[in-house]
Amino acid sequence: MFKKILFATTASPACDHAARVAFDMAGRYQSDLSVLHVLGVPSRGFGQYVTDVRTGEQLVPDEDYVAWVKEEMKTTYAEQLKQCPGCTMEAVAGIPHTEILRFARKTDADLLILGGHTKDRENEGYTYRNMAGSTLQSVARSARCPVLVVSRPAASFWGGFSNIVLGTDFSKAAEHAFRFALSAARQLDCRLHLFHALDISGMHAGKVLEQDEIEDRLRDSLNTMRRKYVSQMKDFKNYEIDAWEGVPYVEIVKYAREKFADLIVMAHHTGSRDAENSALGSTMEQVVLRATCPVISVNHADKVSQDA
Amino acid sequence: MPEGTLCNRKMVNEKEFLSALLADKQGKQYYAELNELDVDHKKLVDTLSKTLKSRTKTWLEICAHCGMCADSCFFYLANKKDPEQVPSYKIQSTLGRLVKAPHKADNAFMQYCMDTAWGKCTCCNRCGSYCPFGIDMGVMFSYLRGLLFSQGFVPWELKIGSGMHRIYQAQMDVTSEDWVETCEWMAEESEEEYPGLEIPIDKEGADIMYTVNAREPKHYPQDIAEAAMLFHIAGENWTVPSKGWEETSLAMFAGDWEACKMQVESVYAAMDRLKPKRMVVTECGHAYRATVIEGPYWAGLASGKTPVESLHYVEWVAEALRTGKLKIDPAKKIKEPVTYQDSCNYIRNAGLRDIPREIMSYIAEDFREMKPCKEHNFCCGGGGGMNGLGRYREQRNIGLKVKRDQILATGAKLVISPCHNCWDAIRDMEEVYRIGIRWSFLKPLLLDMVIVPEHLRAEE
Amino acid sequence: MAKKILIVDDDPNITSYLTEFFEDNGYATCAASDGREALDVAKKEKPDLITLDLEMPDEWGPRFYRRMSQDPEIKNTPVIVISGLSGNQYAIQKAVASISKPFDRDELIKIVRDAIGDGK
Repeated sequence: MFKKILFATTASPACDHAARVAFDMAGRYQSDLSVLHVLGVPSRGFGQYVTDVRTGEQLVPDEDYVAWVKEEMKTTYAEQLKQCPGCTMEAVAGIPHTEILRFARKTDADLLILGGHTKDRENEGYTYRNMAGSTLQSVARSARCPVLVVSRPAASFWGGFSNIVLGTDFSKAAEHAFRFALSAARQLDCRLHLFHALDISGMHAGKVLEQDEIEDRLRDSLNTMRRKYVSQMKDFKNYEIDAWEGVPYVEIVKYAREKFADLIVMAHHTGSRDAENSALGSTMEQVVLRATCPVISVNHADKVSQDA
Repeated sequence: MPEGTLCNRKMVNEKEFLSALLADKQGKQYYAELNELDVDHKKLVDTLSKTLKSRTKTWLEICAHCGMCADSCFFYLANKKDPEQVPSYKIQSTLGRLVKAPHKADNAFMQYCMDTAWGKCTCCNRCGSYCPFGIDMGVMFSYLRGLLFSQGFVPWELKIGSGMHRIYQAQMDVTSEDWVETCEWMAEESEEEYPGLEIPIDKEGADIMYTVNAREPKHYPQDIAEAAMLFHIAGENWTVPSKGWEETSLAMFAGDWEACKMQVESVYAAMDRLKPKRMVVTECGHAYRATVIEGPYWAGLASGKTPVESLHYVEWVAEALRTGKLKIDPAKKIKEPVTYQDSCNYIRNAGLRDIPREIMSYIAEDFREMKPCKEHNFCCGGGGGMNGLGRYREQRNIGLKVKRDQILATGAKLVISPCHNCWDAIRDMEEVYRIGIRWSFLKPLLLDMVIVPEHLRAEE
Repeated sequence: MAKKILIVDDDPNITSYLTEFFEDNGYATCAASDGREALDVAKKEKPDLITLDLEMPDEWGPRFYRRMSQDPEIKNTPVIVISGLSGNQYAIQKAVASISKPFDRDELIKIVRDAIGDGK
């Protein structure tokens, strides 16, 4: 598990918490770690110019410049590199999500780590700011491997995984997420919590559900979990199942906190192709923002072990 | 004085020269050397005698100085009717003077010509439509650019651009391998949503051979994926060539006729090799003009036509909608007010003005025409390479005002812009003037609206 | 019997500083330099309060806290997070307090006194 990790970073303090998790994982799980920094965003028309993401300067990134940026990255992560000497640093120019996905494919990464969020990017100019939020959405949607997001410093203090929460809505994508979570639980010797949040937020506009009905549905959810997931777990016994009613992302975050989860695994869903427009309101994205641990988004079956 | 290391009359045929140019931040050294560049008068006179033909001579002669071209030029309008922006003034004070006394052309004059040819004209050719004699100043500026280029007086980014085409046969440093790799990647990514989707490379005898703009594989590969999805949904038998896959022409903007020829020949060679029934070009205006309209003349094709019938992307879209290959879900049509950017290069300069209207009738419920529109539309403000030229950024930004006002007058918040240059210009216009609009190519909008046939849908 | 404080920190300078500081204020102390060790020490010594660092070589603070909460004998021991990392106040929800390094001694001793009273 986690044999080839790609950590996409701004190489600035905004990504320190993601870096903490990335380097810790690489050390703990003996992974090949690649660190990728998209150093500039293409600016004008057909020109070769990129806008350097840190300085805002417009320049053409030639070999010397890229080498210099890589040196800077080595300095930024000097401490961590001592524990992780085999880690490689790479810097490219381009649209962040495109280059991250391109590099992930090239290196055949089985885990992508991203950090930070728009809050820290005020000084980085119109174009980059617009991109930062959608970078995460585009990457999570298209990545062939699971994507781990650390969006707050508080989410980076666990040091390894031993308590995994799978948030499921019983969809096909959640199936992939479950297989991934089970695989991780098995290989890393973790406790696996299967959790379903019953959405009672806007369910019937105006109409409030009777408690009996809610509890009926909760019971149904537990049975669905037994049928769909527990049945696949065979000899794996270190698990719990639970279902609570409420606003899904709130319940997941609370449940994870209660269970001292150090990893949440969820499926990523998307409707519109236009990442900029798909509102930051979906359950997954809210959980990413609010969790006190890293969140892994699983979208495709590709890098999910088949012998889970 | 001798030519400079970067700024000279040499062609950019080697990677070393190209890298050296790229490394020169914002062309500082290049432009410093430009100030010392001398004019090769012998060569200039020789070139003129070989290339200055009767049409241009007549045009320069018969200008009646009536001033009707003035209001036709968006630069004139954007610059508060500055008389020095009147097209006939611009061309007479540059090419007009040059042909009368080429031996008198000095460095200062040539720089003035350069700053006019690239900083005050996008070769949109609108003036030619309004001149009572049909004198096309845009075409003459294209010619002037060629003269200036051969003398080494060309903006830095376009010297690089012409080098890109010479070395990579593409406007960016994307090799055949990069291109094929990107196609494979995009096919993989799209396959889950569209099982069976393929991007066939070098298939012979296909109905459609599709060619693109190099920035798509380099920075916007989703565009390629989107094109593949639409062809797939429409059930087209299509392919892309591994060589000759790029049909843009910064060389045309630069005035590098030799590189123009090389570029289009690479595409025609692909046509000869793969023998498709037709070629479809991505959403790019100047690419269509360069490869389909001007190209055959550069390549010396007597018919004046490409070896294989060639369509701009909007033509393919209109045909697909018309024949039902693509069906639009009525519930998903664009309901908000939307307008359309008629690009100079495939509307005014190639006659495709009715096609967009046809497309809009299928996809929009509240379509607002810009005023003026169709072949009378104004240039986006960034054509002719101007979007990419740092030296004239200010002038370009002023010119954008006309487009800004046109869009504001429609009341639409969405602009459909099936042309890479126009798309860029409108994006930049929004960044500078913040009028609160969105802009889009056709492909993503279509993908949100088309009905995917049953047999192509992914299993739930 | 004096109230006992368990100091958990991998930095020996901090540990010796806190040991001296608490003992000067009348508390007994014990120490551990890692989360794993800390659990053993806590079970054995049953401290009245724990000061907890977050990032340590083997087992990190929050992980220790989780295991501590699962042991009925020590799970209600008040914890004060002392860490140099930003965002530390969100790391352990039920900590009595979280303070950042470098910390204010008066503030720390006040929190300790409020939590468990004086040393004796």
